[in-house]
Amino acid sequence: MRVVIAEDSVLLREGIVRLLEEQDCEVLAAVGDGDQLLKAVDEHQPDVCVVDVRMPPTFTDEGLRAALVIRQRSPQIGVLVLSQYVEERYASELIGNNPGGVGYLLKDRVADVDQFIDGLRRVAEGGAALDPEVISQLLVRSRQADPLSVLSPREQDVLRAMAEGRSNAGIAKALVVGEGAIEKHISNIFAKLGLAPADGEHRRVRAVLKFLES
Amino acid sequence: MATSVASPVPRAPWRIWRSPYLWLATVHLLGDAVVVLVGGLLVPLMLLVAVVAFPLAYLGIQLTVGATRVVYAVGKLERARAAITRDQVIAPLVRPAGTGSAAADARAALADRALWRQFGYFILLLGMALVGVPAIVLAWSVPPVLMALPFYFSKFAASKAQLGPFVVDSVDQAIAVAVIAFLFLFAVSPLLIRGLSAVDGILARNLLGASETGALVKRVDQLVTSRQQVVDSVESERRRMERDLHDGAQQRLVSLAMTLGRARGRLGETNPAVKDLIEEAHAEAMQAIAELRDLTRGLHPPVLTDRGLDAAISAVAARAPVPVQVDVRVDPRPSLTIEAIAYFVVTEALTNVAKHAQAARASVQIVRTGDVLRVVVTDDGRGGADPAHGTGLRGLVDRVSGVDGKLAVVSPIGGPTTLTAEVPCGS
Repeated sequence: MRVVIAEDSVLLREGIVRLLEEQDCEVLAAVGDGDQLLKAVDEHQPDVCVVDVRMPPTFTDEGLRAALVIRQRSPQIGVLVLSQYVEERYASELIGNNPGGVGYLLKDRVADVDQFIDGLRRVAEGGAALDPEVISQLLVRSRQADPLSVLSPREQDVLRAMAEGRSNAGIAKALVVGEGAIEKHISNIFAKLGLAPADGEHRRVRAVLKFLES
Repeated sequence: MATSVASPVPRAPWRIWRSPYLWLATVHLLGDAVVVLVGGLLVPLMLLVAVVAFPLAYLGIQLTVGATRVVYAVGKLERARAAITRDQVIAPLVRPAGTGSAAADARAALADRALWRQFGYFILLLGMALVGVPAIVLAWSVPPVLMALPFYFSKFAASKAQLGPFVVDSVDQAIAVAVIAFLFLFAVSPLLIRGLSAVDGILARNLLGASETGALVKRVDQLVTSRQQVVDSVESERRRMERDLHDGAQQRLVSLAMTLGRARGRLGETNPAVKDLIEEAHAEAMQAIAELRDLTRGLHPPVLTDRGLDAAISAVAARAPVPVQVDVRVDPRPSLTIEAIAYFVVTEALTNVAKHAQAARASVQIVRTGDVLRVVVTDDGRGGADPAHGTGLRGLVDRVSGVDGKLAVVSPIGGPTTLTAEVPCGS
């Protein structure tokens, strides 16, 4: 995996670089602000970049803006945004109408090395990795005219896990049930949300989209 | 700002004589005659110049402005005189501020009520001097002359003295007159001076001083401005603290947790005891990060500054233990301070809902109508909330009233509870 890192805190930046190198990732560049990030991405064309939201010079959403530019210019490059706080609004802007190749995690998740690398890999491969905290904020937003209210709480849990970018096996592990049960839940979700089998694998993405948009 | 009304000449006769103010008041009242002769002529003259000269194009306008300046200068001298002889502090009158245009200045000068009040002062002072100066001369000079009457009788063996309509023709009568004159000098003259001085003081206070209402209005303006500055500086201090924590302690903790995570991974299964310790340390670090995050988010969430209230509220609602319906319509965005206060109202209210209400659901509505931001938080809990108890609601009332807002809590026993905050967000 070829990675570019943008993080203004030197301490954290060095930490993440070391952590990724231990995991056999190739760190192409580690920079400290949005402009340098865009330059490094243009130059190296990485598989994925890890971006801090708050960076100089504005110390507001500098990194997020750079991430949006990358997603627009080079949709094939995965973007994993890290933040001290995860906010639904930033996530919505980041996802836009394409939940592929995007991640938005709390910075603390970096400390859980396996989970972090797992998420990063998913994003690099065009999947999604959304923090559970973002998901619950998105759920708040969706409660007004709620198309998901047809789903049972358990099915909502499954859909949420899907939005986090987990595989069936991953969902089964997270919810502590068998994989067969998960498959059953998922087919129920597709049926209830009116997604025809003809849509094939895209149904998964469309279900997640429906969840995120609702 | 205090303007003294009464004369500082003491009221009690046994103290009155020891007070320097008795003599200062005498001097002041005699001085009135001089002031009336000089200022009383100068001021009307200048006003006449000002009014007559005003229509006379450029020179006239300069004369008008100059003349009003003289009036204010004389008024200032009068206040200084009152300060010396009566210890009276009079809030100074201030000439209308210059606008840069001489014509506008001149027009403002003539429309200036304070100018005409000073004119009134000198007119009334003329009347004051006409009564006061003879009264003082009589009060201080006639009794001593009468007291000398018995001496005059004995020395010159006179037999008669004509005192107005009365005829004094014996030594006994002369002595009686002298005693009455002495009592008059001792008790009545000082009181006369005292009274005249007080009247003089009232004139000066009411006509030479800034009117009290005006001064109060000005003071209120100052206080409103300075309170606004205090509230703003507190809010910006909160933002600064959030940033300091974010850039310092939080980053360090995350880095620490990351290192511990790596250590745990590297250790593998070689030493289970050490691994347990590292896992424990890792968990504690994560806990500390989470706690610090809640703390800093409570200070001021960055998304509030970046994207406004609507964006910031979803995180608050998501953390509430019950489903919260959110409806935010705030356009245009109010100031950062007002946004921070509205955000604080919502977080506090939802914290209360979580702690006390036993509610099944809640809703947050923030709507801006014109210059009023209305924050309504309702829940279907058991009610009974009262700002008189509980520091949370109390703090909310304080914070909202800090920007001239109002907070109402309707919470009958058995619920539901509705908390409404209305905050002005004009500028």
